[in-house]
Amino acid sequence: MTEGPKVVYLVSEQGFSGLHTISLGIAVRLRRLGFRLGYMKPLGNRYRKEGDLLTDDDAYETRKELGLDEDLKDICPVIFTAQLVREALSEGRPDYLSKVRRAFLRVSEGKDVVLLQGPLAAAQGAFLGISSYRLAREFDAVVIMVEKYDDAFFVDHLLCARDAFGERLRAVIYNMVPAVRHSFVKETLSPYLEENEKIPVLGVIPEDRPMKAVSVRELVDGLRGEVLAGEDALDNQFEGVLVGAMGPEHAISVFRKRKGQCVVTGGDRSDIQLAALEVGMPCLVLSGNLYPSPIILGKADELKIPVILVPDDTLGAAEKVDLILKTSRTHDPRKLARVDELLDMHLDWGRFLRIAGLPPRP
Amino acid sequence: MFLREFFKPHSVAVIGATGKPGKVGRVVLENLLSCGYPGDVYPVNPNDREILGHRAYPSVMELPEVPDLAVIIIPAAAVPGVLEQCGQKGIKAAVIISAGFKEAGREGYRLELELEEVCRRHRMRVLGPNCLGLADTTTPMNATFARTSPMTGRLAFFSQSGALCTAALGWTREHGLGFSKFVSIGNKMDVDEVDLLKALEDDWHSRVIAGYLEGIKRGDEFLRLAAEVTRKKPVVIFKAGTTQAGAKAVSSHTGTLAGSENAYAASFKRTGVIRAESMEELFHVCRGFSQQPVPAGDRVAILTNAGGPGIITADALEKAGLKMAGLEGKTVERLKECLPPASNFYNPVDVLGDALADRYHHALEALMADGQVDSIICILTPQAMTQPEETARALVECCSGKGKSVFAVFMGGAEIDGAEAILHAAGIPNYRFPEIAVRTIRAMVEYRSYLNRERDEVAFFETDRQAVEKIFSRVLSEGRYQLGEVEAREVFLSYGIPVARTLLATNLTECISAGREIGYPVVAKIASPQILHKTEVGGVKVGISNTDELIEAYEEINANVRRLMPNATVWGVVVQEMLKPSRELIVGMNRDPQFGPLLMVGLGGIYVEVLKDISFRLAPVGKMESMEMLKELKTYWLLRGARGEKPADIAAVAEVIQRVSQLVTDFPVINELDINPLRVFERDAGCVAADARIIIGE
Repeated sequence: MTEGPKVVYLVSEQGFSGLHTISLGIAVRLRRLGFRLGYMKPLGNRYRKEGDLLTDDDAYETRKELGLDEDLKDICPVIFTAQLVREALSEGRPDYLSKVRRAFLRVSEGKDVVLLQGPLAAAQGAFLGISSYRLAREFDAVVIMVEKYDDAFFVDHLLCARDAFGERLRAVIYNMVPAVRHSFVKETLSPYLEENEKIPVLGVIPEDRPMKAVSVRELVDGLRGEVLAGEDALDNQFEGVLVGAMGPEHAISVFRKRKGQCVVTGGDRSDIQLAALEVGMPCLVLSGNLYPSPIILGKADELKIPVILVPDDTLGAAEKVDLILKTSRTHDPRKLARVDELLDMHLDWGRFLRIAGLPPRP
Repeated sequence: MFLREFFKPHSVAVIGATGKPGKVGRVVLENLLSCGYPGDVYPVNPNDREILGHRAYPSVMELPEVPDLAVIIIPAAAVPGVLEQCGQKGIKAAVIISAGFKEAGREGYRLELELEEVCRRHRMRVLGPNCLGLADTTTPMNATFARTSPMTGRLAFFSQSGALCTAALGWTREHGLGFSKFVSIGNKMDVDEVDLLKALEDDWHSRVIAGYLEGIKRGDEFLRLAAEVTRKKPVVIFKAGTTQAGAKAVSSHTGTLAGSENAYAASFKRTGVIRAESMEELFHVCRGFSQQPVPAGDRVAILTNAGGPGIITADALEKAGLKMAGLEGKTVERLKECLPPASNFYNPVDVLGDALADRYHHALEALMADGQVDSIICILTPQAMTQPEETARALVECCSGKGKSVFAVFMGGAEIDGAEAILHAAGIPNYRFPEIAVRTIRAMVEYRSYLNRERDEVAFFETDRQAVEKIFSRVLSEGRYQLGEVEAREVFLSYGIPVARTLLATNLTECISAGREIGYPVVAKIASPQILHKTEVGGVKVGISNTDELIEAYEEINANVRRLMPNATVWGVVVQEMLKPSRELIVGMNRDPQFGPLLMVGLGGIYVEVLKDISFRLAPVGKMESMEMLKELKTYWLLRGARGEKPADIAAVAEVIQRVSQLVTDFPVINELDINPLRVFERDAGCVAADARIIIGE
């Protein structure tokens, strides 16, 4: 390679699209293919405090995962916080674009390719002058969009993004595509986009249960709950949340249909708790700080199902669990391996490299 | 005898025996020593050399022989160690009276698991823990800590509640009801109701088996064994926790799911177990069974000295589904000869308020001789001249041991105590109110009709099992538990159950071609695993007669669902052939945690939840039971044809029930299944499933 590094900008137009997961998967793969890789998340939107350093969770984890040498302050130069907003709206505001530019120079030095990961949505950071639209121009990046498939907006976000990015938007990856939409996206939507809009679909990545799962340990941390039983089963995985407020005769039936989900119910609902244990749900969250019947705890120990007590009401607790699920990251080694597998099967790598301007690899 | 060591032990060690007054360890030892137990009793206690005049041993290991039974009354934490010693000594049976196990918290729960392990390793049988103990009045042996000892009798009783045991002892003594065996099963760690049924099945001392249960542990074995035992002797069970509130109480108390009420009802029906609706009824019914012969039929004669109670009893009989016996001519003649002219000579026979014992005597002799009478209720109300005791004696003389079942209803208070004692001594149960006497007779007659019932042959249908296996393993491999309608249809077709032609369309293009392929008119329905009630969300359109209408339906259904259930996963729209008008049923199955596949049939369509006209049986069912299921429905009369309507194809429905029964028996992986509605056409025109749902699980 003679000129500077190729720049690939992975962006999304909506939250919870799996952008970070896909970015990480692609980064790992590019490294394995032997490219000298730089990674940046120019605008951090996931607050994380590491010692004294304020940074972004994705940036931190990616750096760790890839074993990058660059400074975290360069990998993620701007962090979106309340203080930043205050600073940006006051007089004498710093020039954020220059800050990102300088960081980019350091990160890109000696690299074949720099992978940029966008924030929640491409427009985020526009008031700081560092929206993804602006930065893509700045670094002359190839933009690839990662979209969660959605029946209502299936191409709309993509086309709007193309208006904003222009010719730089070169491809799209559809993520979390439900099984019953797979053939539609692959056989109807993809040819249409390719022919009429000249946007190739690089990948149609199916909805995947193991990817959605979160460990109970992560849940305990997130909820700040008290583990009452089943402490040795905190590695159990769950992939959804279910409120146990139904009559006991329905509980078993509902749980059977939605195995693998975390059950949130009142501490006094021993009937529901027992049904959940009986079906083998992965964990129980008991709300209202109501201590359950002792026999439930013994049984939970025996069946190796964690029971977590929280002070919130049932609905509040369920919402928290749901948020933990949605915002959970991919740093579990089992999940990283799964991402790699999914991208291997469902992403057109040859085409990806061509679009990114990178030389083909065997 | 199975569990002999518990009921007829040659020797008993009482571990934790003590001389200290007020201690459970002392009461148990006293009961054993005072009940006339013929074997050796070994008190075990490291702190005493002698207890109540018997040499005490410091540990089980030092006993001079291996006792048949160990009764353990020591603090919970020490029990696993002691049980281990019992195992090493070679003791084969133990009763653990101590509490502080599963019922008492995490630590107790862990202790009980430890106990279970010891018990299994040494192949011991263990009753309890957390129980009152047991007694066998025929040995005799009383290893309980109850203050009242059970009277000798023909009733074998077991109870999941220890406290209830003690209450029962006092009550039954008052009512002249004696026990052969008396067992408190506590936490049911090892010995449970199934074991007890097995032990009591051939015990000739026990004429009737009764139990109080909060849950049944081994459903399959219970079903198999109970069906055998009830052929030999009646089994009466009072099952608590039948309501939502009760079930919740059971779950927090015993840590077992109460199980569905419908499944219990079906399991009792299947096995001929008689179900008592209350504790009181349990014992009254048991008095009937243990003291009187089972009536040959359902015809009951009432003999009374007062009109009112006679009428009340007649009402109760009819409500209970029993018949007022029509008396033979010669009986009426005999009654006319010996009763005053103002008497009533027909059933209920009224001997009038001034009747002395002799009128009862004559009338009873006449009724006893009547071949149209299967059982007699003899009512007495104490008037000024009434002779309760003489009448009781007349009743004993005329009826006792004559092979016809007789129930006394001597009403009133203290004035009939003497008469009641005479009746009880002679084994004629007296009830202070007629209704409970009638409930007793009903239970006994039900038992008779169960014994007389033919066996239901379960038919075997040729099916394509492999096809079903394939579908299930594919669905599970995709991490799904619910089959799509098209998949469910394939399953049903493989089992010979007709289903309307159905295609899934995941987009409009597919929808249009589905409409053409099936042929108009068609029905369009939303396909979503989260939407069970499609009609409520505007997810169903019927009578679609061309492509334009189909497109419109497709739009409308999707719009409705997006508006009302925006977060639902939508697979697409199912296009289905439109069936001609018909009567609608629902056929379903729900796998009960205790008893397995519970079949259900009822009035179908959208009214199923409102009218709840449904009946249940446990699979597998044969033709007879599937017809019984249908006949229990009010809807059955609609199927037969109301007001000039032609009858529906009932035989085809019965066959669908049997085929579903075979399907859910063949595949334990099926957790739930629903055909709703099953469209039933006129006779010989068959029936077709219009909407089908199957939920499976690993």
